Amino acid sequence: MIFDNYYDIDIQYNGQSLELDCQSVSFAIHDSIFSQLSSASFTITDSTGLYRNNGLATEGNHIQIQYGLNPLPDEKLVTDFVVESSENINVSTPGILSGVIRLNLIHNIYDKQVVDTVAYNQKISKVVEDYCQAKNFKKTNIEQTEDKSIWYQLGVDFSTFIDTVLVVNAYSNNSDETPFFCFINSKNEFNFKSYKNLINQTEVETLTWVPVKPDAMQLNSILDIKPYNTGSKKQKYTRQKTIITRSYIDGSFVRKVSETGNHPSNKASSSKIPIVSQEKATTDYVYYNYTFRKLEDNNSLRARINYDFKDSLFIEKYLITTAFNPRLVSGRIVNLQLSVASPNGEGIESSAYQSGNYLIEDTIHSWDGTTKKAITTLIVSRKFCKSINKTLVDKLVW
Amino acid sequence: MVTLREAQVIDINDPDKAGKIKIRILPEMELFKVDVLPWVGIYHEGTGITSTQGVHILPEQNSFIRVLIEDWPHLRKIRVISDDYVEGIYIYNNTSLTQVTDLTAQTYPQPFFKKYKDGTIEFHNTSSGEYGVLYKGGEYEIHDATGNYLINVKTNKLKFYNNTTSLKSIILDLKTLITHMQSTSAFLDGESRPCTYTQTSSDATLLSNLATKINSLLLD
Repeated sequence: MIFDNYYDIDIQYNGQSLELDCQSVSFAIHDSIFSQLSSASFTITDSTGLYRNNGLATEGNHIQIQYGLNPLPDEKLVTDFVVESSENINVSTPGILSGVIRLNLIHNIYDKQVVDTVAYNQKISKVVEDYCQAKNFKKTNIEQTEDKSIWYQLGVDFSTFIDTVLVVNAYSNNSDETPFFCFINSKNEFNFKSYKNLINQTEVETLTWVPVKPDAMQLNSILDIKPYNTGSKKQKYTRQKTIITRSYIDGSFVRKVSETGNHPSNKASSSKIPIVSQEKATTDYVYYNYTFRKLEDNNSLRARINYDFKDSLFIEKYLITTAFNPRLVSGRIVNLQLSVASPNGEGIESSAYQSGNYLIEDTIHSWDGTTKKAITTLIVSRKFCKSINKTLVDKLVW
Repeated sequence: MVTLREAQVIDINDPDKAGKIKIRILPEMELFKVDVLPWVGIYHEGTGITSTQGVHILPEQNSFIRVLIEDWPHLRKIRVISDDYVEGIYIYNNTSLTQVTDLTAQTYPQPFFKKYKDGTIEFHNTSSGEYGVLYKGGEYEIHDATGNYLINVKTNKLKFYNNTTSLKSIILDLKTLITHMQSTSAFLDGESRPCTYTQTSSDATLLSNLATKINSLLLD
């Protein structure tokens, strides 16, 4: 249904379009590279109580949300969700179970999970590819891995198996010693990729933060922005690790130092990690146990080491609000064009230090039927900056 | 995460000859094909491990054991730490030492013992002090309650020897010496006349049986 000749919104309930007035519903669709399953919340005003009475709020119902822009039909967000839980936000009329119902939705693959015990004697990317067969994803982006071994799914569902075993052990020569991420974005695209391959993508949008008049706002205009850092309490331990393994050949212990700058290791020489530190000091000490006879098993050991550098990948962040833009989903790259006051006091100028490509970690695409507001909120981050900031260039250690 | 699980031994013939065994973790791997089951190491007790010392004892195929999985759910470091306990197949009531006729009557919980796949039993009654081994064919050796050391090889033979000789050889030589000494001309009296051993006929059977006994008990 096209609303205001611009917004393309449709809600389907167990396969049937609800034919709702878009002003009577609100929803927010969420995806994240840290969460395998996309999710959503959906609220609807049930003034008579008949929606709940007829089972709309029942766990297990299938809800499909289609959310797009008329000018961008190919970018429409379409996901099949299942009701995970529900609540009435209020009960508005005394004596009648009416009010606003909120459905908490999760990607419908949640409903298809089977707890099983299986052994897979394959490389991890193949295991994931087989899993994605017949799952009706719009697209699958699965990076090939070099880790053929026996992988055990023991008494868990496959989604848990991905999170606890496959993602942790996945290794590809192209990953450049970075960990893998597995997530379904709001376009129902299944992704299993290393951080290196995520950040190497071409940007899907350039977002600008410059003051413009409301009637000059465009799809790529930033409405609000909040810069912040992850903070050293979360990631300081990743700066320089002493990593110890043990040789399966003679039992000897092998020590190695790995720094945050090794993950990824190949980067432009101008790239710096925006952390000022007086010295490179050891911040963690980890024993990873034995090495292995087979190359593929040693690859997975490297993957587990890389996985433990995950927190080091998201140093500088921005919380950004834009008009609803379906191009912006987790796992994609945006280019931020940010400005600061001109040093000579005349107007503003582009900040070369803060502008650049950022990885979208997290998005929420929301529709508020009451205010008819369509918003996209995203968290973007980066690990490296170009050391153009002259006051920092000598102080950035890595 | 570290976790302890039950398992069954599937194969002890490690192609790397590195003491690993193939196991089936139960119940999760109950229906897995053999080729996807993991090979795991064993934490022994005894000598510590270097390139020149260690213990090589493997649990038998199809036996139940306990394993420590030190990196659940990756299952890359699994170690056998002990036997399992299954009340219904506990070994005491399936074991008999009555073939050790020099052993006194045993009352539960004695004796303590270790019984192997071939039927060999190493036993020790820690109350009476009886200690020994019953072998698969019924032969045994025992240090009994009074301190005697007894060896019963049933219808088989014993061998005591070193690089130069053996007990059998020594006894056979003694037998030969006795035979020579029994002959008429072996000894002369004061007038150089041969003496006669007066027990020759009565000892003939003894001498003949001695040969049979030596060959029966002692191995060349």
